[in-house]
Order: sequence, then structure tokens, then C-alpha cells
Amino acid sequence: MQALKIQNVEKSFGAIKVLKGINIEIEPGQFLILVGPSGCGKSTLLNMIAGLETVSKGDIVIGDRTVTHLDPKDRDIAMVFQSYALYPNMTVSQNISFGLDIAKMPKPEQKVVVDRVAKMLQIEPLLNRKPKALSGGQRQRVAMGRALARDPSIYLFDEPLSNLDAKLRVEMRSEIKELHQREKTTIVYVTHDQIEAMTLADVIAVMKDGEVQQFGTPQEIYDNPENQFIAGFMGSPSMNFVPCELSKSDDGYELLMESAGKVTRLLVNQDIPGLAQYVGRSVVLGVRPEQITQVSEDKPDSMVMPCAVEIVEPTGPDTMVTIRLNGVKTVCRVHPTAICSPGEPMFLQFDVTKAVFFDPETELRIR
Amino acid sequence: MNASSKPKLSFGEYLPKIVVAPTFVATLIFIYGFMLWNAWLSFSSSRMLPKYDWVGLKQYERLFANDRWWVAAENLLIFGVLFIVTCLVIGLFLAIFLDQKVRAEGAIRTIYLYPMALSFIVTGTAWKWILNPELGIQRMFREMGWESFSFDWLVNSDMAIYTVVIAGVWQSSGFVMALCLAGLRGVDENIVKAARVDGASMPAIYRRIIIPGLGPVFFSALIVLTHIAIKSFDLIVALTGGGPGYATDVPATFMYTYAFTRGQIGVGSAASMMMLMAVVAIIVPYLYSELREKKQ
Ligand SMILES: Nc1ncnc2c1ncn2[C@@H]1O[C@H](COP(=O)(O)OP(=O)(O)OP(=O)(O)O)[C@@H](O)[C@H]1O
Ligand SMILES: [Mg+2]
Repeated sequence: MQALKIQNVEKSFGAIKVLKGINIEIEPGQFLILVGPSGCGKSTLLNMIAGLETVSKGDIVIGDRTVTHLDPKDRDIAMVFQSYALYPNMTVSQNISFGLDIAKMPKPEQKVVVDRVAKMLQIEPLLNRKPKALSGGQRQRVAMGRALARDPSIYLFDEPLSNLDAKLRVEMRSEIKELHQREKTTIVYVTHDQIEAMTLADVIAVMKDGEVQQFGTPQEIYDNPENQFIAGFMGSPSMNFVPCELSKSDDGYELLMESAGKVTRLLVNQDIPGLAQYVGRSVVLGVRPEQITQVSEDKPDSMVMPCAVEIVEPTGPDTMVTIRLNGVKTVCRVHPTAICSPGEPMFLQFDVTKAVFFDPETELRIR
Repeated sequence: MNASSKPKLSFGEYLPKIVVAPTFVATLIFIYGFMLWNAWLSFSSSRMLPKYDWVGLKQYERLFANDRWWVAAENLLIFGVLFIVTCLVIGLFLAIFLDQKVRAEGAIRTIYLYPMALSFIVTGTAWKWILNPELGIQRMFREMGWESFSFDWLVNSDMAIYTVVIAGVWQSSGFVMALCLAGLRGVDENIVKAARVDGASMPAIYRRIIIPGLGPVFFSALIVLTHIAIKSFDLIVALTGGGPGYATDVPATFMYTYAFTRGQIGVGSAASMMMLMAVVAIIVPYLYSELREKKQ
């Protein structure tokens, strides 16, 4: 049995169609992340799962119940909001127990739940404070505590970390992950931060313009993007897209690469049947920064070519080097010891075994 | 040139002070000066004309021995409590109603707020006609065929004070509505969503989350309404004239009658001192809390 099924769900605001037929299914205990650029309909979809927005078409099934037209209170869900949405006139412990109180749980039992949740989130000393007297990170914990206290079958998070500063965000991220692994909860989590998506998710749904572009595990989406949008959206720094000429060679295909006035032939040693019809035409090569590195001996399959270095950006463990390939800026991830200064030529090693190809017109993956 | 430009500079510096000086002086004399004068008169034996002798608390004794004063004080209590509570309740409900995304909200808001633009004299006169048994509601129902219908509160000395409440509420509840509406609009809509997900119904959300958050709004409304109630004079003069008899006298009309039509300036001053005390008792804590909040 699926924990959540979203079947052909559509949403229109007046004449504007915001969601165009969404299909998603997740298993109990899975962590689903909805990720996509601003305005793609993530929050709208989450609110529809919660019952806070009406469903224009299609069905939402939680567990074995169709909840499409049920009130939020009858759906057995809990939600954490970006603005935390704590009840300002109540103390932290009243905030956490509000849902239980509404459900008419006896006070002593409420206290047991509040204590358990407070302990789990380490907010015991804050229980008698009002939300006004809390920091952003503490409010975030209380908002999560409020959801945990209800012990619902699905947790919904709408960009819960985006109001926190960078350090706290990383901390809370790993805490959420830990919590999920420990409690085996089913979570639907909205974010537009692809790092959050990669680190937290069991499955990711990449959305754009009200459609799910790809649905899969983080690694699948990272390694096998369906189209150029997904390839560019996931990963930081993002994938390089280099337009180049494809030609046939003895044992595969060759790409014409030009950098610093020198033309090199890059051998494609992958078996991609779709490439056959692009021979003599232009394709877009998608290559991630970590696939272009300093020259080292232990990679027999890769190609080496000389490139002109334009920009050097140290990040600590690696240094990002920007070169120009076929006229487009291309970022490479190089070990700091191998670096040379801008303007100088440098030999770089291309690992094309994981490179992907896109049609320049449709931007779809060539397979 | 040099000599004339220097005073010009200091003139510019003094300009703000010069501009506010007349109002400052006028306030000092006509408000605080007259308050002191009135206090002095309340300790004198003044009758038709002010006298500047000293008779101690004699005028206060006469005031407290006067039945009519106690009627006025009781009326103020009835009027004040009913007026304030009803205004707050009606204003809050109108605001909640308007907050449900009703259509033509702007127009409805203006209609409810419009009585605020009238003076109490106009309100009083209009309601005098509406409530007059020979002209208003009673006559309307009788002409429609309900011969035994009777609504004579305006001329009934037991009920007349409630007509003052009706007219006062009609005029002032729109103001409370506007304050509450502003408060409701300030509530983060995600809080309402969170409470809905927590299982609360809309009435429960209003009762347990939204209305408790309106505390400061109610407090401001309470202060304004209370001092409207204590000062109320024009509404009563226009609506009932203090009558029938002196059944709807309040301290303000009592003071006016004694000081200016019955030649009892001493008693009138004592009555107005009592009103001043009542206002001070409400305003001072308010100012205190406001100023303390500003400082923090
Ligand atoms: N009540 C509404 N009426 C009309 N259009 C709406 C309404 N709510 C949302 N929209 C539109 O629906 C689209 C999706 O909105 P949504 O809030 O779901 O985006 P999102 O993916 O959550 O974006 P973000 O990352 O910025 O939060 C947007 O184009 C938005 O303008
Ligand atoms: Mg959103």
C-alpha cells in the first residue's frame, strides 16, 4: 500500500492552470522532496495535499483513503510552514499541545506527549516561553514539535529552513534527516534549494511550470537527468552545457572541442544509440565540473586536452577553474595543488564516461 | 547684510517654537488654567456668580446629598457599561464578518463607519425622531396594521436611558469595527492554516487564537469608548434632553444644569471635578503603559 498517491491532480486559479496533471506515488516511510524554481506550483501542490486548497481535478489518496475533498483535520497530516506560523498568544507547550487539545486528549496525556517531543527536539527549557521570545532556529524547532506531537501519517514541510541563516540551515537539515531515519516518518518536503533536495530525499520530484519533469532517487536524477533543465537545476556548481559538432570515428563518436585556439577531438566511449542520427550535426554535451579535472594517471578512459584558464575560484577542498570551450564558459573542479594562474594554458582531463547529450532544439536527453 | 543675516538664522531656529507657542499658551490657560479655576470654585460658596471664598468640602457634601446626582451617576454607569460592551461586541462581529472576504467589502465598511462622521447632535436628533412613538417605529408598525404595537422607551423614564445606549452604539460601533478589522488583517494567514491542519474549526480559531491576539486593539477601543461615555453630553441633550424629568441625566448634563441654569456654580464645579477624577483614573494608567512601552 502506498502512503500517498497523487493521481492526475490539476489546479486552476480562474483561467490560469497552475498544476497540469501531477502523478506521484510514495511508499510509507519515504522522504519525498518537491523541488523546482519559484512559481512552479510546489506550495500549491503541498497545500492541496493538506486540504488547504481545493483540487480542481484528479485524486489524492493518503494510505487507503481518498481524501480529495476532505477537510485538513480529517486527513491525518501535520504541516510545518516557512514562517513557522506559531500561535503568538500561546506558550511553546500550548503551541505543541494545541492540536491534541482540539482532539480532546486529556491534559495528563497531553503533557506526556509535550515532554516527549520537547526532549526529542531539545526545547525543554523553552516550554513556558511565548514565540516572541524565541530565536528563528528555536521557533523552527517548536514548529516541528507541533507537527511531531500529532503523530500523523504524513508530515508536510513548506520550505521550513529558508528563513534560517546558512549555518543553522545545515544543522537543522541534518537534524531533520536524523529525525526521519529514527522515526521512519513519511515526509513531503518542498524546497527550491537543490542541495537540500539531494541531501534529504529518498525520492525527488523535479517540477517546472506545473508539471513533474522527473521523478526518481537523488542519484538517478543527478546522473540521468531527463532534460537540460533538470541537469542544470540539480548540482552546484551546475552542469556545463557545451554545444559541439558530432562526428563518427572508428570505435564510436568524436566531438570537436576548441579551446584557446586549439581544436581537439574528444572520443565518446559510451554506447548511446540515439547519437547515430546526430552525426554531422550539433549536440549539447552536458558535463559536470567534477568530470573535468587535473591530469592524473589513474583514469585510463579519459581524454586530455589543453585549455585556457580564465577564472580561478578556490573553495577550500577544490578550486573551481573556468575555461572556455567552444565559446562557452565551462567550470571544472581541480585539486588546489594542480592549479595555474589565469591566462595560462593548462592540461585538463575529461571523463566522458558519465557525460550526457541533449538535443539543441528540444533540450531532451539523447539516449 | 551681515547684521541682518544673523538674526535670520536664529529666527529659523526659533520658528518651530514660535509656531507652537500660541497653542501652548492657549492650552495652558484654557485647559489647565480653567481646570484649576474650576477646582477652586468647587471649594467656594459660589452660586449665581463665582465667589472666591473657602468653604472646604461643603459643595461636595451638597452634591452627594443630591438624589439627582446619584441618578446621573447611576445612569452613567448603566450607559457606560452597556455602551462599551455592546460597541465592542458588535464591532468585533462586524469586523469578523467583513474579514470573510465578502463582496463589496469597501462599500459595507463605509456604511458602517459613516455614523462616525456625524456629530452626536445629529445622531441624537435622528434617533429622537425614529424612537418617538408618534413619529417613528411605533407609528410605522401601527400603520402597517399592528395596532397594539408599542415602543415607547423614549418617553418611559425607566427605559429612556437604553435609547441613549442604542443611539450611542449605532454611532460608535463602526469605529470599533475599523480597529478590529485592522487587527484581523494583521494576522498571518499561515497561522490560520496551521490551526486548520491542527484540526481547529473556524470558530475555535477565532476564539482561541485570533481574538486573544486582538488584546491591544480592545484596550485602545476601551479607552476611547470610556472617555466618550464619561463626556457624553450632546447625545443626551439632543435625544432626551435629560428627560423624561431627570431620568436620563448624566454627570455632564447635571453639571451643566446646576452651573449654568440653576445658579449653583459651586455644586456644578464639584460635579465636574468628579468627572475629571473619573477620566484621570482611566487615562493616567493608559498613558503610563503607553509611555513605558515606548521606552522599552
Ligand atoms: N490564490 C492564487 N490565485 C492565483 N494564482 C495563484 C494563487 N496562488 C498561487 N498562484 C500562482 O500559482 C503559481 C504557483 O504558486 P506556488 O505558490 O505554488 O509556487 P511555488 O512553487 O511554491 O513558488 P515559491 O518557490 O516561490 O514558493 C504561481 O504562478 C502563483 O502566481
Ligand atoms: Mg512556495
